[in-house]
Amino acid sequence: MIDHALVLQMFTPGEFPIVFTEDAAGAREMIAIVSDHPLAHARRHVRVANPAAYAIAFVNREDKIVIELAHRGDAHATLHVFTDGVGTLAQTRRSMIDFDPQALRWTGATADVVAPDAGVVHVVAHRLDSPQAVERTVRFLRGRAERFAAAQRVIVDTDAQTISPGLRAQLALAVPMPVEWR
Amino acid sequence: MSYNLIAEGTLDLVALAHLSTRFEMIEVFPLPLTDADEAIGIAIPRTRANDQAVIELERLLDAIGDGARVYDLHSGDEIAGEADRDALAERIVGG
Repeated sequence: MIDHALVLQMFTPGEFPIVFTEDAAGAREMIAIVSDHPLAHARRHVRVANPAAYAIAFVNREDKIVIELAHRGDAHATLHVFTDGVGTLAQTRRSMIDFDPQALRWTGATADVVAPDAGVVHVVAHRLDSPQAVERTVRFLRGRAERFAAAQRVIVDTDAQTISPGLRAQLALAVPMPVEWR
Repeated sequence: MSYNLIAEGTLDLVALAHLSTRFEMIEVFPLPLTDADEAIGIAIPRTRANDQAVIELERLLDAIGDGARVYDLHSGDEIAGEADRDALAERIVGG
């Protein structure tokens, strides 16, 4: 499995992070992430690959090598800062393996309306004049719906917008609850 | 009803979740992931649309940084600069 020594041996400190992944069969992959936001993209690469183990090696703002390391089943990834080849556990963070952002602790959520007969009612007055705008509202409502366990529906206040039948269908088919148009 | 925004792009969801737990006025929650990006939803309940909410929103937008695009879902407009932020604050507090 991936460990500090292996990663240190293969990592040449540079401008961009290196991602090491290992699948369940032991096959390893190493890629450099070139991006304006390299560390975030490195973590996204791991999230999408969902390997059995991963390490991300990068140089931090203090010009020290940092290795973020996790194996499937670990409670957290560990971040080790290296000075003269000696690593010190600096912090832990959520592992990118089986990463589920819903499992993180976020703020509470307040229902727009709680109706005794209909559970939670979401009321939105969003701009819905393009497929992209509808897509953003769908994504928003799908995430919002995850915050409530009760039965839900959504009221869309069109605010006199002309919303085409196609866009209405795009929204109604994609949100996980009944939609009412007003 | 709440005032709603969305941020889509390159986001450190672990850091943003941690930051969000300090907020008392605005609500922040994760949205479905894609292979291409991460996203969060931001909701400001009308009853909490006050100056403190604007301060919290500013802190959140600073933390989101330039890796993601933020949209005001009511106007459909992207919040891309200081002028947009100021106008957004007016809309939120002004109701």
